[in-house]
Amino acid sequence: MKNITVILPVHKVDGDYRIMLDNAIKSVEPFQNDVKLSIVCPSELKELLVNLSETLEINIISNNSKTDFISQVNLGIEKCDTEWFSILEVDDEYKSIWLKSINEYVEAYNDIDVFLPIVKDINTDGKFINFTNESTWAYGFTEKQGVLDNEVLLDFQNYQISGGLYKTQVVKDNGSFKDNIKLTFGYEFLLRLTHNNAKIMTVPRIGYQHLNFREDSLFWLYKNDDTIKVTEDEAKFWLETAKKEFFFKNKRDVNYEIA
Amino acid sequence: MSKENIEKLEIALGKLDAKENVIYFLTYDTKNNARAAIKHIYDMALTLKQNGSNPKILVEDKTYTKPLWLGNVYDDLEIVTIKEDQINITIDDVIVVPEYYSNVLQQLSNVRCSKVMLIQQKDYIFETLPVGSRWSDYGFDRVITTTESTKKYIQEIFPEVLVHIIPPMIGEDFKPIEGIVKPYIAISCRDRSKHRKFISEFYLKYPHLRWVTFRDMVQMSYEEFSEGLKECMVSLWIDDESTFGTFPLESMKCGVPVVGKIPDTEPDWLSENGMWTYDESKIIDILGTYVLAWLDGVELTDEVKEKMKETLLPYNTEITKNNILSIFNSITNKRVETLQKALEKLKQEETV
Repeated sequence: MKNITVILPVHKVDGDYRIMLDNAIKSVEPFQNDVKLSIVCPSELKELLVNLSETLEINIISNNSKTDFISQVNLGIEKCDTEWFSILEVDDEYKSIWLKSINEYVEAYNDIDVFLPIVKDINTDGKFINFTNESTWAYGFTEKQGVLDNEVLLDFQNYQISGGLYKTQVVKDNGSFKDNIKLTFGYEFLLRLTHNNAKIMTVPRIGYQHLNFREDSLFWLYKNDDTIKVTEDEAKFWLETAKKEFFFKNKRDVNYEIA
Repeated sequence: MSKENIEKLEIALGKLDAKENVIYFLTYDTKNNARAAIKHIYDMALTLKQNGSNPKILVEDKTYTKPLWLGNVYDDLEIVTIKEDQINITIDDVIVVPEYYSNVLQQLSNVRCSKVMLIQQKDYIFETLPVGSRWSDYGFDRVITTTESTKKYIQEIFPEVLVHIIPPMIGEDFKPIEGIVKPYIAISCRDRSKHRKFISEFYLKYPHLRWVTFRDMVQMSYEEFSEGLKECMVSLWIDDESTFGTFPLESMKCGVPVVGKIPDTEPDWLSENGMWTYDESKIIDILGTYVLAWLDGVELTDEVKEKMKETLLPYNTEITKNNILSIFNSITNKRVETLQKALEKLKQEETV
């Protein structure tokens, strides 16, 4: 019985994207007995997503609505029927220890709702940049070593949501990602979960590898694309917005345009 | 006079037979600071007590601080003071004196009991022993030590003494954790300035591992120590003065791999059971490499795990307990033999 769904949002499958997609899927294959893969994609891409893996149980979720990263993930969560889910970005990959270490922690800490792996951030040359999510283990950083709480989150924002293992029902009860929050949607999500007493813990093994600032990635576009570029002031704004919005389960109809 | 002596000898033999004679373990005050050497003394005394003998911890005076860090397991052991309790050591008694008290050997030379030296730190043997004197000058004809190499050393310097080996017990509190190991490094470094240096070097060389916690394995109760140790992913041991090296063995018993500098006196148990180096400057690189590998999910090889288990075999608690009993029985038997001979001689003289 597979009790984890990996949600993989896809919006392109041409050129390098296909290579990245294949690599991402390959990183899930070692977990085939416990994990099924939900690929969420714009409906026009569905027919291109064939013969992706010989071993994995793959479910293609065709999306006829908004196809930005957040909306795709939310659709994946909505359709998720397993106890747990995880999010995989197309340019990222799981490390082989991910499932084993996460399972050990799930067994040892049955009151935890979200397990974040230590994420190894690499650049486009494959070189190590830094770790993410590791700080919860620093002595005295959080109230309980390894556990991320709301108070700490209010001061430290740099946590990576992809690669984490989330209790599906807890997320459904507390609301998914808010697609009207730019840049800090993941931060707002974690703030909301911890505010509502969901427990988040970091598994101290490198379970996930994240490619940082790939050209054409969402965060790269936030930095470089003139149409959606986020200035320093705007970044601050989104940070503050996340801190205000986490009290609300669902996105509010607020016009966030900056004058 | 000889009648009186016969009576004394008969009483002594009676006490030895009934195990009523006292085995004194002269013990120094560590002011409740955890020391493996103290635990070793208490373990020997407790083993004897549990097997019907009459051991007592002998301390200088009432200012002695009970080693509370050991927990209440040793509460049954009686502590007597030299100053206030005015103890009377008789010929049937045994006194075990650690190397730390070599300066009192002269005072003990007139005490006619069985006398045993306890050598846990061979470097301290000559610290207070009068220059040129030997233990046998003061009636000490037996030595208990902890390692084969120290035994060899003692036999070279003091060939006239009988040397026994009783290694420290690696308690049953040390066992692999039932839950999961955490990103903690247990550090045991005798030199406190080096302790700081190693931690600083680690964080400076591996800034991306600043979140990994060093757990300083001092100032802990025995229970806290064993519980704290088993949670760690690796332990770091630097102790140039160590003769035995209890800490690495305790780590191994917990299944925690050891990164360590091989001390000047190579422990008997040293093998491919850890990540060892003679070069102190390499310690941090070895540690950093191991921590990164652990984070990547690399596990210890079965070969190393097996070596760790094999290393611990001779230090099994039951084996050590039997060893303690057998050595102290041999001391008693030797005493009985000597006293019986003396008694027979006196009786013969009486008849003549």
